[in-house]
Amino acid sequence: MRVLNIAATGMMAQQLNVEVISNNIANINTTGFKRARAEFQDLMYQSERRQGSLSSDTGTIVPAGIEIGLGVKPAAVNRIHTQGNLVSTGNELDLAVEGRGYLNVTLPDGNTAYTRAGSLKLSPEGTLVTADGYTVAPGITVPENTREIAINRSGEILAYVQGDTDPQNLGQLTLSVFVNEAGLEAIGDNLFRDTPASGEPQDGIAGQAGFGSIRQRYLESSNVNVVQEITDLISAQRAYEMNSKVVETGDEMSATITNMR
Amino acid sequence: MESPLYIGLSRQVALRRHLEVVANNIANMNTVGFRADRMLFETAMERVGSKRGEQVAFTIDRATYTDTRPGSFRETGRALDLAIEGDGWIGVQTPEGVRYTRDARLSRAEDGGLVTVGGHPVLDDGGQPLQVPPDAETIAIGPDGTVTVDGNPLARIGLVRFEDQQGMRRGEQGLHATEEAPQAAPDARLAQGKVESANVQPIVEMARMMDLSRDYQAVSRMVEEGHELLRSAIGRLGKATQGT
Repeated sequence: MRVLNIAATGMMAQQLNVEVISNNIANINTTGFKRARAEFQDLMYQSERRQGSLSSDTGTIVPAGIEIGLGVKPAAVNRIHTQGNLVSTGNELDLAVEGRGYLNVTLPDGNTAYTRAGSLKLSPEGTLVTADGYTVAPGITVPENTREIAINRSGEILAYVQGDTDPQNLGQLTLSVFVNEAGLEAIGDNLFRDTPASGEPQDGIAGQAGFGSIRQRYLESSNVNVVQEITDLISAQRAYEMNSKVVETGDEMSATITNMR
Repeated sequence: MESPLYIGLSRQVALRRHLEVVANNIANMNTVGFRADRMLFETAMERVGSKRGEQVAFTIDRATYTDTRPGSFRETGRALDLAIEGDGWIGVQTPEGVRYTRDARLSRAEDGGLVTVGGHPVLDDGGQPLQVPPDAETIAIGPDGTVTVDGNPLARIGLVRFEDQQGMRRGEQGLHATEEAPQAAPDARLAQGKVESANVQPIVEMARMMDLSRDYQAVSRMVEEGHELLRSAIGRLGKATQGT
Protein backbone atom coordinates (compact mmCIF):
# COMPACT_ATOMS: atom_id res chain seq x y z
CA MET A 1 0.00 0.00 0.00
CA ARG A 2 2.21 2.78 -1.32
CA VAL A 3 -0.58 5.33 -1.02
CA LEU A 4 -0.67 5.05 2.79
CA ASN A 5 3.08 5.68 3.00
CA ILE A 6 2.88 8.65 0.65
CA ALA A 7 0.11 10.23 2.70
CA ALA A 8 2.00 9.45 5.91
CA THR A 9 5.05 11.39 4.67
CA GLY A 10 2.71 14.30 3.96
CA MET A 11 1.23 14.16 7.46
CA MET A 12 4.64 13.95 9.11
CA ALA A 13 5.89 16.91 7.09
CA GLN A 14 2.90 19.02 8.09
CA GLN A 15 3.33 18.01 11.71
CA LEU A 16 6.91 19.30 11.61
CA ASN A 17 5.64 22.44 9.93
CA VAL A 18 3.17 23.03 12.79
CA GLU A 19 5.92 22.41 15.35
CA VAL A 20 8.17 25.00 13.72
CA ILE A 21 5.33 27.51 13.47
CA SER A 22 4.32 26.98 17.11
CA ASN A 23 7.91 27.60 18.23
CA ASN A 24 7.91 30.83 16.23
CA ILE A 25 4.66 31.96 17.85
CA ALA A 26 5.88 30.94 21.31
CA ASN A 27 8.96 33.13 20.84
CA ILE A 28 7.13 36.14 19.51
CA ASN A 29 8.31 38.29 22.45
CA THR A 30 11.81 36.82 22.71
CA THR A 31 14.48 39.46 22.17
CA GLY A 32 16.64 38.82 19.11
CA PHE A 33 14.69 35.70 18.11
CA LYS A 34 14.80 34.80 14.41
CA ARG A 35 11.86 32.94 12.97
CA ALA A 36 12.40 29.53 11.44
CA ARG A 37 10.79 28.05 8.36
CA ALA A 38 10.45 24.37 7.54
CA GLU A 39 11.61 23.65 3.99
CA PHE A 40 10.09 20.73 2.12
CA GLN A 41 11.27 18.79 -0.89
CA ASP A 42 9.71 15.98 -2.87
CA LEU A 43 11.02 12.44 -2.48
CA MET A 44 12.35 10.30 -5.29
CA TYR A 45 10.16 9.13 -8.15
CA GLN A 46 9.62 5.48 -8.98
CA SER A 47 9.62 4.86 -12.70
CA GLU A 48 7.11 2.21 -13.67
CA ARG A 49 7.62 2.90 -17.34
CA ARG A 50 10.49 5.08 -18.37
CA GLN A 51 9.98 7.83 -20.93
CA GLY A 52 12.01 7.23 -24.06
CA SER A 53 11.63 3.44 -23.92
CA LEU A 54 10.64 1.70 -27.14
CA SER A 55 6.93 1.08 -27.54
CA SER A 56 7.13 -0.85 -30.81
CA ASP A 57 9.67 -2.62 -32.98
CA THR A 58 9.51 0.20 -35.54
CA GLY A 59 11.24 2.53 -33.14
CA THR A 60 8.41 4.60 -31.69
CA ILE A 61 9.14 5.72 -28.17
CA VAL A 62 7.05 6.50 -25.14
CA PRO A 63 6.96 10.29 -24.86
CA ALA A 64 6.12 10.37 -21.17
CA GLY A 65 6.54 7.53 -18.73
CA ILE A 66 4.81 6.66 -15.49
CA GLU A 67 6.62 8.21 -12.59
CA ILE A 68 5.13 7.88 -9.17
CA GLY A 69 6.45 10.20 -6.52
CA LEU A 70 6.93 8.74 -3.08
CA GLY A 71 5.89 11.76 -1.05
CA VAL A 72 7.56 14.65 0.69
CA LYS A 73 10.36 15.14 3.19
CA PRO A 74 11.48 18.00 5.37
CA ALA A 75 14.81 19.16 3.95
CA ALA A 76 15.77 21.82 6.44
CA VAL A 77 14.48 24.14 9.09
CA ASN A 78 15.87 27.41 7.89
CA ARG A 79 16.30 30.38 10.18
CA ILE A 80 15.26 33.61 8.49
CA HIS A 81 17.79 36.25 9.50
CA THR A 82 15.94 39.41 8.69
CA GLN A 83 16.19 42.41 10.99
CA GLY A 84 13.66 42.50 13.82
CA ASN A 85 12.02 45.75 14.85
CA LEU A 86 13.98 47.95 17.24
CA VAL A 87 12.06 48.83 20.36
CA SER A 88 13.06 51.74 22.55
CA THR A 89 13.39 50.65 26.17
CA GLY A 90 15.17 53.58 27.83
CA ASN A 91 17.40 51.17 29.74
CA GLU A 92 21.05 52.18 29.34
CA LEU A 93 22.32 48.59 29.23
CA ASP A 94 19.94 47.51 26.47
CA LEU A 95 21.51 47.45 23.06
CA ALA A 96 20.43 46.31 19.63
CA VAL A 97 22.51 45.46 16.59
CA GLU A 98 21.17 47.23 13.54
CA GLY A 99 22.39 45.35 10.49
CA ARG A 100 24.68 42.36 10.42
CA GLY A 101 26.64 41.09 13.37
CA TYR A 102 26.44 39.08 16.57
CA LEU A 103 27.70 39.94 20.04
CA ASN A 104 30.26 37.46 21.33
CA VAL A 105 29.43 35.74 24.60
CA THR A 106 31.91 33.64 26.58
CA LEU A 107 30.21 30.53 27.90
CA PRO A 108 31.17 29.07 31.32
CA ASP A 109 33.03 26.26 29.50
CA GLY A 110 35.25 28.79 27.72
CA ASN A 111 33.66 28.46 24.28
CA THR A 112 32.26 31.42 22.43
CA ALA A 113 28.59 31.75 21.55
CA TYR A 114 26.91 34.45 19.50
CA THR A 115 23.76 36.42 20.23
CA ARG A 116 21.71 39.34 19.02
CA ALA A 117 19.82 39.72 22.29
CA GLY A 118 21.49 42.74 23.83
CA SER A 119 19.68 43.03 27.15
CA LEU A 120 22.89 43.25 29.13
CA LYS A 121 23.31 43.38 32.89
CA LEU A 122 26.13 44.05 35.31
CA SER A 123 27.59 41.24 37.37
CA PRO A 124 28.38 41.83 41.09
CA GLU A 125 31.94 42.60 40.00
CA GLY A 126 30.73 45.17 37.51
CA THR A 127 31.37 43.08 34.39
CA LEU A 128 29.01 43.35 31.41
CA VAL A 129 27.10 40.05 31.20
CA THR A 130 24.05 38.66 29.40
CA ALA A 131 20.77 37.95 31.18
CA ASP A 132 22.19 34.51 32.06
CA GLY A 133 25.35 35.97 33.56
CA TYR A 134 27.74 35.03 30.73
CA THR A 135 30.49 37.54 30.03
CA VAL A 136 30.12 39.60 26.88
CA ALA A 137 33.40 39.76 24.93
CA PRO A 138 35.88 41.39 25.34
CA GLY A 139 34.89 41.47 29.05
CA ILE A 140 34.33 45.02 30.11
CA THR A 141 34.29 45.99 33.79
CA VAL A 142 32.48 49.13 34.77
CA PRO A 143 34.21 51.05 37.60
CA GLU A 144 32.44 51.76 40.86
CA ASN A 145 30.60 55.06 41.31
CA THR A 146 29.65 55.16 37.62
CA ARG A 147 26.83 57.61 37.08
CA GLU A 148 26.02 56.70 33.55
CA ILE A 149 27.15 54.33 30.84
CA ALA A 150 27.11 55.47 27.24
CA ILE A 151 27.52 53.04 24.35
CA ASN A 152 28.08 54.62 20.97
CA ARG A 153 27.25 53.27 17.54
CA SER A 154 30.60 51.61 17.06
CA GLY A 155 30.24 49.77 20.36
CA GLU A 156 32.63 51.83 22.47
CA ILE A 157 31.61 51.85 26.11
CA LEU A 158 32.11 55.09 27.97
CA ALA A 159 31.60 55.44 31.71
CA TYR A 160 30.87 58.73 33.42
CA VAL A 161 32.30 58.29 36.90
CA GLN A 162 31.16 60.43 39.82
CA GLY A 163 33.35 63.47 40.23
CA ASP A 164 34.99 63.14 36.82
CA THR A 165 33.85 65.31 33.92
CA ASP A 166 35.49 63.34 31.13
CA PRO A 167 34.14 59.90 30.37
CA GLN A 168 36.36 56.86 30.71
CA ASN A 169 36.69 54.66 27.62
CA LEU A 170 36.26 51.08 28.87
CA GLY A 171 36.71 49.26 25.59
CA GLN A 172 34.83 48.25 22.50
CA LEU A 173 32.37 45.41 21.96
CA THR A 174 33.33 42.72 19.43
CA LEU A 175 30.90 41.83 16.65
CA SER A 176 31.10 38.73 14.47
CA VAL A 177 29.54 38.11 11.09
CA PHE A 178 29.08 34.82 9.26
CA VAL A 179 28.93 33.93 5.60
CA ASN A 180 25.87 31.72 6.11
CA GLU A 181 23.90 32.85 9.13
CA ALA A 182 21.29 30.15 8.53
CA GLY A 183 24.01 27.59 9.28
CA LEU A 184 24.42 28.73 12.89
CA GLU A 185 23.32 26.24 15.51
CA ALA A 186 20.80 27.56 18.02
CA ILE A 187 21.70 26.33 21.50
CA GLY A 188 18.85 28.02 23.37
CA ASP A 189 18.93 31.04 25.68
CA ASN A 190 19.08 33.27 22.55
CA LEU A 191 22.57 31.92 21.82
CA PHE A 192 24.04 30.53 18.62
CA ARG A 193 27.15 28.50 17.96
CA ASP A 194 29.23 28.44 14.76
CA THR A 195 29.21 25.23 12.70
CA PRO A 196 31.05 24.10 9.55
CA ALA A 197 27.95 25.25 7.60
CA SER A 198 28.00 28.79 8.97
CA GLY A 199 31.69 29.29 8.23
CA GLU A 200 34.30 30.74 10.56
CA PRO A 201 33.26 33.90 12.41
CA GLN A 202 34.79 37.10 11.04
CA ASP A 203 35.41 39.39 13.97
CA GLY A 204 35.24 43.13 13.74
CA ILE A 205 33.71 46.18 15.30
CA ALA A 206 30.38 47.85 14.77
CA GLY A 207 30.22 50.46 12.05
CA GLN A 208 33.04 48.87 10.04
CA ALA A 209 32.20 47.95 6.42
CA GLY A 210 30.11 44.79 6.45
CA PHE A 211 29.09 45.18 10.09
CA GLY A 212 25.96 46.70 11.60
CA SER A 213 25.90 49.44 14.16
CA ILE A 214 25.00 49.31 17.83
CA ARG A 215 22.06 51.24 19.25
CA GLN A 216 21.95 51.90 22.95
CA ARG A 217 18.57 51.92 24.77
CA TYR A 218 16.98 49.78 22.08
CA LEU A 219 16.26 46.07 21.89
CA GLU A 220 15.73 44.04 18.75
CA SER A 221 12.38 42.29 18.98
CA SER A 222 11.77 38.97 17.26
CA ASN A 223 11.19 39.05 13.51
CA VAL A 224 8.08 36.86 13.83
CA ASN A 225 5.11 38.17 11.91
CA VAL A 226 1.93 36.94 13.63
CA VAL A 227 -0.31 37.27 10.62
CA GLN A 228 2.04 35.21 8.50
CA GLU A 229 2.48 32.55 11.18
CA ILE A 230 -1.28 32.16 11.70
CA THR A 231 -1.86 31.94 7.94
CA ASP A 232 0.88 29.31 7.67
CA LEU A 233 -0.66 27.46 10.61
CA ILE A 234 -4.07 27.32 8.95
CA SER A 235 -2.55 26.17 5.68
CA ALA A 236 -0.51 23.48 7.48
CA GLN A 237 -3.58 22.23 9.32
CA ARG A 238 -5.62 21.99 6.12
CA ALA A 239 -2.78 20.17 4.40
CA TYR A 240 -2.65 17.74 7.31
CA GLU A 241 -6.40 17.11 7.04
CA MET A 242 -6.17 16.50 3.31
CA ASN A 243 -3.38 14.00 3.79
CA SER A 244 -5.44 12.18 6.39
CA LYS A 245 -8.29 12.07 3.86
CA VAL A 246 -5.92 10.36 1.44
CA VAL A 247 -5.18 7.73 4.08
CA GLU A 248 -8.93 7.26 4.53
CA THR A 249 -9.47 6.84 0.79
CA GLY A 250 -6.61 4.35 0.49
CA ASP A 251 -8.09 2.43 3.38
CA GLU A 252 -11.57 2.50 1.83
CA MET A 253 -10.17 1.08 -1.38
CA SER A 254 -8.57 -1.78 0.49
CA ALA A 255 -11.83 -2.38 2.33
CA THR A 256 -13.66 -2.59 -1.00
CA ILE A 257 -11.25 -5.29 -2.09
CA THR A 258 -11.58 -7.29 1.12
CA ASN A 259 -15.34 -7.25 0.78
CA MET A 260 -15.27 -8.61 -2.75
CA ARG A 261 -16.26 -12.21 -3.15
CA MET B 1 -16.19 -15.47 -20.15
CA GLU B 2 -13.80 -13.99 -17.60
CA SER B 3 -13.58 -10.67 -19.41
CA PRO B 4 -15.58 -8.69 -16.81
CA LEU B 5 -13.12 -9.76 -14.15
CA TYR B 6 -10.08 -8.75 -16.14
CA ILE B 7 -11.55 -5.51 -17.39
CA GLY B 8 -12.40 -4.64 -13.82
CA LEU B 9 -8.93 -5.59 -12.72
CA SER B 10 -7.29 -3.41 -15.35
CA ARG B 11 -9.31 -0.44 -14.13
CA GLN B 12 -8.62 -1.16 -10.48
CA VAL B 13 -4.86 -1.37 -11.02
CA ALA B 14 -4.96 1.93 -12.90
CA LEU B 15 -7.11 3.60 -10.25
CA ARG B 16 -4.80 2.53 -7.49
CA ARG B 17 -1.83 4.05 -9.28
CA HIS B 18 -3.86 7.16 -9.90
CA LEU B 19 -4.56 7.46 -6.19
CA GLU B 20 -0.83 7.24 -5.54
CA VAL B 21 -0.23 10.12 -7.92
CA VAL B 22 -2.95 12.18 -6.20
CA ALA B 23 -1.51 11.28 -2.79
CA ASN B 24 1.92 12.52 -3.87
CA ASN B 25 0.40 15.78 -5.13
CA ILE B 26 -1.39 16.35 -1.84
CA ALA B 27 1.69 15.39 0.21
CA ASN B 28 3.66 18.03 -1.72
CA MET B 29 1.03 20.75 -1.38
CA ASN B 30 3.46 22.97 0.54
CA THR B 31 6.63 22.04 -1.37
CA VAL B 32 8.16 25.07 -3.06
CA GLY B 33 8.47 24.79 -6.84
CA PHE B 34 6.58 21.48 -6.95
CA ARG B 35 4.50 20.71 -10.02
CA ALA B 36 1.57 18.34 -9.84
CA ASP B 37 1.48 15.06 -11.73
CA ARG B 38 -1.47 14.04 -13.85
CA MET B 39 -2.28 10.64 -15.23
CA LEU B 40 -3.10 9.70 -18.78
CA PHE B 41 -5.33 6.70 -19.47
CA GLU B 42 -5.77 4.82 -22.67
CA THR B 43 -8.02 2.02 -23.86
CA ALA B 44 -6.71 -1.23 -25.17
CA MET B 45 -9.21 -2.98 -27.43
CA GLU B 46 -9.53 -6.67 -27.73
CA ARG B 47 -11.84 -8.65 -29.96
CA VAL B 48 -13.76 -11.22 -28.01
CA GLY B 49 -16.48 -12.50 -30.33
CA SER B 50 -16.27 -13.81 -33.82
CA LYS B 51 -18.25 -10.92 -35.25
CA ARG B 52 -16.78 -7.54 -36.07
CA GLY B 53 -17.51 -4.96 -33.38
CA GLU B 54 -17.67 -7.44 -30.57
CA GLN B 55 -14.89 -5.81 -28.69
CA VAL B 56 -14.06 -5.11 -25.11
CA ALA B 57 -11.85 -2.35 -23.90
CA PHE B 58 -9.31 -2.62 -21.13
CA THR B 59 -7.87 0.46 -19.54
CA ILE B 60 -4.15 1.18 -19.36
CA ASP B 61 -2.48 3.89 -17.35
CA ARG B 62 -0.31 5.08 -20.19
CA ALA B 63 1.72 7.81 -18.60
CA THR B 64 2.04 10.48 -15.99
CA TYR B 65 2.69 14.00 -17.15
CA THR B 66 3.57 17.15 -15.34
CA ASP B 67 1.20 20.03 -14.97
CA THR B 68 3.36 22.94 -16.15
CA ARG B 69 1.10 25.73 -14.97
CA PRO B 70 2.98 28.16 -12.75
CA GLY B 71 2.28 28.11 -9.03
CA SER B 72 1.28 31.24 -7.17
CA PHE B 73 4.02 33.40 -5.69
CA ARG B 74 4.36 33.82 -1.97
CA GLU B 75 6.14 36.75 -0.39
CA THR B 76 8.80 35.68 2.12
CA GLY B 77 10.95 38.80 2.46
CA ARG B 78 14.11 36.68 2.55
CA ALA B 79 16.70 38.13 0.15
CA LEU B 80 17.88 34.79 -1.20
CA ASP B 81 14.43 33.37 -1.93
CA LEU B 82 13.87 33.52 -5.66
CA ALA B 83 10.83 32.66 -7.74
CA ILE B 84 11.06 31.98 -11.47
CA GLU B 85 8.44 33.78 -13.49
CA GLY B 86 7.63 32.19 -16.83
CA ASP B 87 9.15 29.20 -18.57
CA GLY B 88 12.59 28.84 -17.03
CA TRP B 89 14.77 26.65 -14.87
CA ILE B 90 17.96 27.18 -12.93
CA GLY B 91 20.80 24.68 -13.24
CA VAL B 92 22.50 23.18 -10.20
CA GLN B 93 25.62 21.05 -9.92
CA THR B 94 24.98 17.70 -8.24
CA PRO B 95 27.35 14.75 -7.81
CA GLU B 96 25.38 13.00 -10.58
CA GLY B 97 25.78 15.90 -13.00
CA VAL B 98 23.81 19.01 -13.86
CA ARG B 99 20.17 19.01 -12.75
CA TYR B 100 17.47 21.62 -13.24
CA THR B 101 15.00 22.93 -10.69
CA ARG B 102 12.42 25.66 -10.17
CA ASP B 103 12.95 25.67 -6.41
CA ALA B 104 15.28 28.63 -5.93
CA ARG B 105 15.36 28.99 -2.16
CA LEU B 106 19.05 29.74 -2.02
CA SER B 107 21.46 30.16 0.83
CA ARG B 108 25.16 30.89 1.17
CA ALA B 109 27.63 28.05 1.42
CA GLU B 110 30.55 28.39 3.81
CA ASP B 111 32.77 29.51 0.92
CA GLY B 112 30.23 32.21 0.07
CA GLY B 113 28.70 30.59 -3.04
CA LEU B 114 24.97 30.29 -3.62
CA VAL B 115 23.48 26.84 -2.98
CA THR B 116 19.99 25.34 -2.97
CA VAL B 117 18.27 23.81 0.05
CA GLY B 118 19.90 20.49 -0.87
CA GLY B 119 23.33 22.17 -0.82
CA HIS B 120 23.89 22.01 -4.58
CA PRO B 121 25.78 24.97 -6.11
CA VAL B 122 23.78 27.14 -8.52
CA LEU B 123 25.22 27.55 -12.03
CA ASP B 124 25.76 30.88 -13.76
CA ASP B 125 24.93 31.65 -17.41
CA GLY B 126 28.21 30.00 -18.46
CA GLY B 127 27.33 26.74 -16.73
CA GLN B 128 29.92 27.22 -13.96
CA PRO B 129 29.13 27.25 -10.22
CA LEU B 130 28.38 30.80 -9.18
CA GLN B 131 31.05 32.31 -6.90
CA VAL B 132 30.24 35.04 -4.44
CA PRO B 133 32.99 36.47 -2.20
CA PRO B 134 32.52 35.29 1.41
CA ASP B 135 32.60 38.85 2.76
CA ALA B 136 29.72 40.00 0.57
CA GLU B 137 27.30 42.04 2.66
CA THR B 138 24.25 42.55 0.50
CA ILE B 139 23.27 40.38 -2.44
CA ALA B 140 20.69 41.71 -4.87
CA ILE B 141 19.39 39.58 -7.72
CA GLY B 142 17.85 41.30 -10.71
CA PRO B 143 14.96 40.01 -12.82
CA ASP B 144 17.39 38.77 -15.49
CA GLY B 145 19.42 36.88 -12.88
CA THR B 146 22.20 39.45 -12.45
CA VAL B 147 23.78 39.02 -9.05
CA THR B 148 24.86 42.36 -7.60
CA VAL B 149 27.14 42.16 -4.60
CA ASP B 150 27.51 45.37 -2.56
CA GLY B 151 26.52 47.43 -5.60
CA ASN B 152 28.81 45.75 -8.14
CA PRO B 153 27.36 43.38 -10.75
CA LEU B 154 29.22 40.12 -10.32
CA ALA B 155 27.65 37.31 -12.31
CA ARG B 156 24.39 36.15 -13.75
CA ILE B 157 22.34 33.17 -12.62
CA GLY B 158 21.75 30.99 -15.67
CA LEU B 159 18.09 30.78 -16.66
CA VAL B 160 17.40 28.04 -19.16
CA ARG B 161 14.41 26.44 -20.82
CA PHE B 162 13.69 23.16 -22.57
CA GLU B 163 11.60 22.29 -25.59
CA ASP B 164 10.31 19.06 -24.09
CA GLN B 165 9.40 19.57 -20.46
CA GLN B 166 7.53 16.28 -20.26
CA GLY B 167 10.65 14.34 -21.20
CA MET B 168 12.48 15.49 -18.09
CA ARG B 169 13.05 12.81 -15.47
CA ARG B 170 11.93 13.91 -12.04
CA GLY B 171 14.18 13.19 -9.13
CA GLU B 172 14.03 13.91 -5.46
CA GLN B 173 14.49 17.43 -4.07
CA GLY B 174 12.68 18.90 -7.06
CA LEU B 175 15.63 18.16 -9.35
CA HIS B 176 14.96 17.29 -12.98
CA ALA B 177 17.34 15.55 -15.35
CA THR B 178 17.24 15.73 -19.13
CA GLU B 179 19.39 14.81 -22.10
CA GLU B 180 18.20 17.86 -24.03
CA ALA B 181 20.66 20.74 -24.32
CA PRO B 182 19.47 23.78 -22.38
CA GLN B 183 18.49 26.89 -24.33
CA ALA B 184 18.58 30.45 -23.07
CA ALA B 185 15.27 31.57 -21.58
CA PRO B 186 14.86 35.25 -22.43
CA ASP B 187 11.25 35.34 -21.21
CA ALA B 188 11.96 34.00 -17.74
CA ARG B 189 12.32 36.47 -14.89
CA LEU B 190 13.54 36.08 -11.34
CA ALA B 191 11.63 37.68 -8.49
CA GLN B 192 13.60 38.26 -5.31
CA GLY B 193 12.05 37.76 -1.88
CA LYS B 194 9.38 35.42 -3.20
CA VAL B 195 8.96 31.69 -3.65
CA GLU B 196 6.78 29.79 -6.08
CA SER B 197 4.26 27.63 -4.23
CA ALA B 198 3.33 24.21 -5.56
CA ASN B 199 0.81 24.40 -8.39
CA VAL B 200 -1.33 21.73 -6.71
CA GLN B 201 -4.97 22.75 -6.50
CA PRO B 202 -6.11 21.05 -3.29
CA ILE B 203 -9.84 21.18 -4.11
CA VAL B 204 -9.31 19.60 -7.52
CA GLU B 205 -7.14 16.87 -5.99
CA MET B 206 -9.74 16.17 -3.29
CA ALA B 207 -12.52 15.97 -5.85
CA ARG B 208 -10.42 13.68 -7.99
CA MET B 209 -9.72 11.48 -5.02
CA MET B 210 -13.41 11.14 -4.12
CA ASP B 211 -14.18 10.44 -7.72
CA LEU B 212 -11.66 7.65 -8.05
CA SER B 213 -12.65 6.14 -4.72
CA ARG B 214 -16.26 5.84 -5.96
CA ASP B 215 -15.04 4.54 -9.30
CA TYR B 216 -13.14 1.87 -7.47
CA GLN B 217 -16.27 0.78 -5.62
CA ALA B 218 -18.31 0.79 -8.81
CA VAL B 219 -15.74 -1.38 -10.56
CA SER B 220 -15.62 -3.84 -7.71
CA ARG B 221 -19.46 -4.02 -7.81
CA MET B 222 -19.23 -4.72 -11.52
CA VAL B 223 -16.69 -7.47 -10.94
CA GLU B 224 -18.95 -8.96 -8.27
CA GLU B 225 -21.89 -8.95 -10.63
CA GLY B 226 -19.86 -10.60 -13.35
CA HIS B 227 -18.89 -13.18 -10.79
CA GLU B 228 -22.53 -13.66 -9.75
CA LEU B 229 -23.52 -14.14 -13.38
CA LEU B 230 -20.89 -16.82 -13.76
CA ARG B 231 -21.97 -18.56 -10.59
CA SER B 232 -25.67 -18.60 -11.45
CA ALA B 233 -24.84 -19.86 -14.93
CA ILE B 234 -22.85 -22.72 -13.48
CA GLY B 235 -25.67 -23.44 -11.02
CA ARG B 236 -28.33 -23.47 -13.71
CA LEU B 237 -26.31 -25.52 -16.12
CA GLY B 238 -25.61 -27.94 -13.29
CA LYS B 239 -29.36 -28.28 -12.64
CA ALA B 240 -30.00 -28.96 -16.31
CA THR B 241 -27.56 -31.86 -16.27
CA GLN B 242 -29.13 -33.21 -13.08
CA GLY B 243 -32.57 -33.07 -14.72
CA THR B 244 -31.74 -35.46 -17.54
